Amino acid sequence: MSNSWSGLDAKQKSSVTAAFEALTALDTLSQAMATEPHAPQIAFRDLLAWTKGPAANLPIAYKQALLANPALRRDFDRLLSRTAEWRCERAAAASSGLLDTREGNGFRLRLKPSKAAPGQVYLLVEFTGAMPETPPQTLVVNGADGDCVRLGLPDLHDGTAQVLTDEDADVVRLLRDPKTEIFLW
Amino acid sequence: MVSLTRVFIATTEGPSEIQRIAEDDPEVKSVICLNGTAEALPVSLGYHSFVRKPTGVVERLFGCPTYRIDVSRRISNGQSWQLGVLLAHGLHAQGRLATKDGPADEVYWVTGEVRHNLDVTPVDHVREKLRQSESLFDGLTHLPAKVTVLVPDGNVAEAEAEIRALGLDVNLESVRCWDDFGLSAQDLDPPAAPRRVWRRAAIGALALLLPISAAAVLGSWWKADVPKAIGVPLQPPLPAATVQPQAVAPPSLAEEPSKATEQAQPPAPAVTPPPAVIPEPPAPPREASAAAPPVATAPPKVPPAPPLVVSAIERRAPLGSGCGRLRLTGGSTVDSEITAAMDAFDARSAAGLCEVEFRVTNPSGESRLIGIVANTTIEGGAPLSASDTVAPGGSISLRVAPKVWEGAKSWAASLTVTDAPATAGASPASARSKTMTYTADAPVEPRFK
Amino acid sequence: MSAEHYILEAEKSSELVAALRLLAETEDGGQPRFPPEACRAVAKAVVCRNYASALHELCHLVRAASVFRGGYVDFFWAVGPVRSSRFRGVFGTGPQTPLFRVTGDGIAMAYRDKPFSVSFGRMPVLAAMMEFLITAIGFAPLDDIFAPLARPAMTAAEVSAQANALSRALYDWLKEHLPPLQAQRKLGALVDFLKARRGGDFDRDAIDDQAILDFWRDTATTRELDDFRTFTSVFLAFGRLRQVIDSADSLRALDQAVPIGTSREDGEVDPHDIESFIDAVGDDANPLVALDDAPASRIKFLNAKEREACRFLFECGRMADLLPLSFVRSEVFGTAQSRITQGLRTGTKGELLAQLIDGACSTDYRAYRDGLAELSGHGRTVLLASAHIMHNAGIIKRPTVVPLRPKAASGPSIDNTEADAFFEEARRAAKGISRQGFRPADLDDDEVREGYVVGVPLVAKVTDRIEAFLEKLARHPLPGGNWDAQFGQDRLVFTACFQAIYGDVT
Repeated sequence: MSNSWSGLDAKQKSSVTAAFEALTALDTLSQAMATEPHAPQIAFRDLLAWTKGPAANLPIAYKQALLANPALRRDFDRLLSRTAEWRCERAAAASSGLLDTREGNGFRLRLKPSKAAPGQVYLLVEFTGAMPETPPQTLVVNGADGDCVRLGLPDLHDGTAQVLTDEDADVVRLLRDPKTEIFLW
Repeated sequence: MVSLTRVFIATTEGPSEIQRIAEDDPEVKSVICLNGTAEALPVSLGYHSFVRKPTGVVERLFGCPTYRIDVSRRISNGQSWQLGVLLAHGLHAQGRLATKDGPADEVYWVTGEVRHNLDVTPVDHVREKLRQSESLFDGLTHLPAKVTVLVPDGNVAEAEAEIRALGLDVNLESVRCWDDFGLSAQDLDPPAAPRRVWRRAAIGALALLLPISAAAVLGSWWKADVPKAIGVPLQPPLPAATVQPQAVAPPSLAEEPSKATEQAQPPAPAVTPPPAVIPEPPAPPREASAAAPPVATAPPKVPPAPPLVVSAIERRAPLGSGCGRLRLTGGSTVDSEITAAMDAFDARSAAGLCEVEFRVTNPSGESRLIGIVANTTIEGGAPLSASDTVAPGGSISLRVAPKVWEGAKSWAASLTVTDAPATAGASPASARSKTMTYTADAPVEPRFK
Repeated sequence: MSAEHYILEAEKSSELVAALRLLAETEDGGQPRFPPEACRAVAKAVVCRNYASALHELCHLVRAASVFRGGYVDFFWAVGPVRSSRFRGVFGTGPQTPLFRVTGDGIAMAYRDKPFSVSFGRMPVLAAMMEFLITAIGFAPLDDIFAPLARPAMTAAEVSAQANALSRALYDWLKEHLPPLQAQRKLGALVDFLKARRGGDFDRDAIDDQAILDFWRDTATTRELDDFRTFTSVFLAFGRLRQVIDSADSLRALDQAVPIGTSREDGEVDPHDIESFIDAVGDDANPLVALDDAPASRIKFLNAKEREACRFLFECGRMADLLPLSFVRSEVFGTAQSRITQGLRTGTKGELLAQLIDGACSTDYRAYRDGLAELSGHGRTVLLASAHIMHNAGIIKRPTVVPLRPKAASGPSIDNTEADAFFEEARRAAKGISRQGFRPADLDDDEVREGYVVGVPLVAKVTDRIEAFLEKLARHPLPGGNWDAQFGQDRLVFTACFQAIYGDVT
């Protein structure tokens, strides 16, 4: 004998309502996932994969996603902060113009033009505090506008890691900008 | 006028030219960079230690704590680059280091480790380094610059042996201590160092077939790393290569000529065995051509015939097609020509490979009797051979075709190339032969995941 | 009614849809990172609001992960495709720590106040939940909650406090992103309609194909009831109502102490019970979902087009059998309506919209049935081909009772005398299939072999289900007399409704 609606007590009707709501919500979601058009979007996982992968600049699609999505940008900043063992904040408001030196917590980063090769510049990462047991192997410079560069660092020698690059390289441009943050891990 | 010296660092991957040395800021570490770029090589850390006091010697000898060196080829870690670098510093201090694309009166090929007390100690792989530099040496023989192989005393014997085996026309010098050179900043004239000069044996020497294509002989030193002209014209260009009749085992693919130098050919002759060795009369002195460069200071000698040029022309089916289809319906293949490095071609892919034509070209100025035999691992394939008298600039070929209906399988070919002067009565002692291998590997199937 | 109205309606839950879709579509090494059942478990937990216990377990798992290098972020990143066996391997070879010990089936957390265990079997669902939370709530707020879990000395109560904070964060997010909670109004509309039609003591039989069509025609243009704009949503709503009424007896087993009331959000009905009820009401596990998971996914038994052709049939389950005409109407005209809605999203209006409405229906009932029949035929061919391949690979032996039922078999098995004929047919079937997993070299892979063992019964289930439904369609009495006539009648009705719903869009 089938149940009639009027035969249900209030408790049962309450439960029926709850079950009905859950089932129809699942149906709505399933239908939306099956029928709604979508384009793959850059998600947090993609940014995490970038921090783990080989040293490379942030792809343009990622930069655009960070610019367009403040929540994603917030998460990316947190990811960098969480991952880095050393950090250099944005330079103080009084700083203006292009910088040659950035001071971080326990390290200093200097840009030194090469005398032997005009147009090339040395990045010198010097540890000013305690020498790290496990030296950093990655340098990330994060700009305010979604621009982000990642470099591999060589082994330390006399407490310094030295990288030679071109003066017009993205990493140099970002390092000279006081509004960028620097992360080492 | 100051004589300039070019320095090559010997490596197992080939010689690396020191292009430039420059002083840099004392606050930075010395670096070795690749070809003027901002790529600092991993060996830079070792170089910095070699320069900077107290561990290093360069600063101690020449005063500056930081240098930048640019080299033409990567130098791997190890210590055998030290002697060459120190020599370059010494020359640089005297203003005698030849730079990239500049002229040079002398060339040094160097390997050796330098201790803190300036003793020069032996290193490994000297023979292999010499072999890897064979093309360089061969290119340098056309020029008047004196070429010197500089090794530690403890490596002389093996260097001698390999120079003889390769038939190189170079000077061999050895050194026990850096002071033997006297190239510190204070010295202006290098003292005469003990040296031994080797000549190539006129009779009984085995020449090595070098992997230099006709184009390389015509226009450049040795691939991209050999320095350009040092102010002396090269030999006159060779006549255009003509394709010689060739022996073919399987039916060849019908296609348009793939090389502009190919000309109409007579019908292919039957396969003939390699020629018998002919007794050699006394070797006449080689006549210098009108355009040959003047010989510098070495006494007159009879230069041996330049080595034959062995290349492989790979013919592949275009994308989307197959070798079997081409055999049935005709059509053009996609051709590429490769030359062998030393005694083997680099490992090739068998994917889409319909046929390989092994071609031997005579770059010399005289006719040569050339034979080529190919033994393959292709199932059911018989040995192939061809021989002929090949005029200067001409060539002889063999074609090898895998079983295209069975898909891409790995196979290999062992090639034996022999040649001798085509003049009547040529001595059998002047015949020479070389075996080299060609391998084609089957593609690896991707696994589904 | 403006086009924007329709678009806004769709965007209300698009972030939730996007988050669940990302979960389902994330790949790792070419395979789904999260098993389909884990994704579904997360979706169910979210819509039933039954996520508290999962979040609690997740907090403990995050604490355990803090002993690994890089903390929980690297832990969940490095595990790769999320499977119980992988977690077992990671913990089995992980660092020694006083925080937990590894047991046979999970990890036992060590707290001074109360022990807690997390089983390896639960970890894929928890990892999927973690991924969902990162997408939904965001990494930074999540990290604020998870960061304290790495403290060296914690009690179980402190971990629970973090879990509660996490639940609150998810609750706040879901308030904004779950489909509008208008279940009472929705249900009320259905009940009022059925009461008006059949009286107050209507039962499940009141819910039939005509009632569904009539309701939709009455309400589709009503602004206040956006939930019933599409025919498919009406079909699903009535179908679910019929299911829950049918299963109302099982609701008697719910907690008797629950106070009387109808406010769902006050938590007066235990969410756990609701999820259990859904599982009871819901049909058997969807074989299409299982075919999507390893090892069956190593073999392309069905391609994407074939899956899509029967997806809704399996999602609806028994509803399709109970209301077959409505189901077919939904497949044919519901799809047409989606096309119109999509056109509105892309800005179609005026004359173009009118043309779209007229021509939105790209198939008819006969063609739809023929499509299902073709799919069923393909399923039989795949089963035959699989028999040949499995036999050649030594997975099954002959002569033996073959665990597959070929189409023409008169009984449940093939006896030995027919084995030769069967395997000859199977050989021919295999020759005609060159899909992934059907090539001889593929059987060198153990996972592919296992895929056949797991996948073939699933394909049989899919094929059987389609054939059973086709038989039901063949027997179902139609107001129009036959399917062609029925389509003709329905087309007029639906076209008129579409014009009424969308015709005045400017």
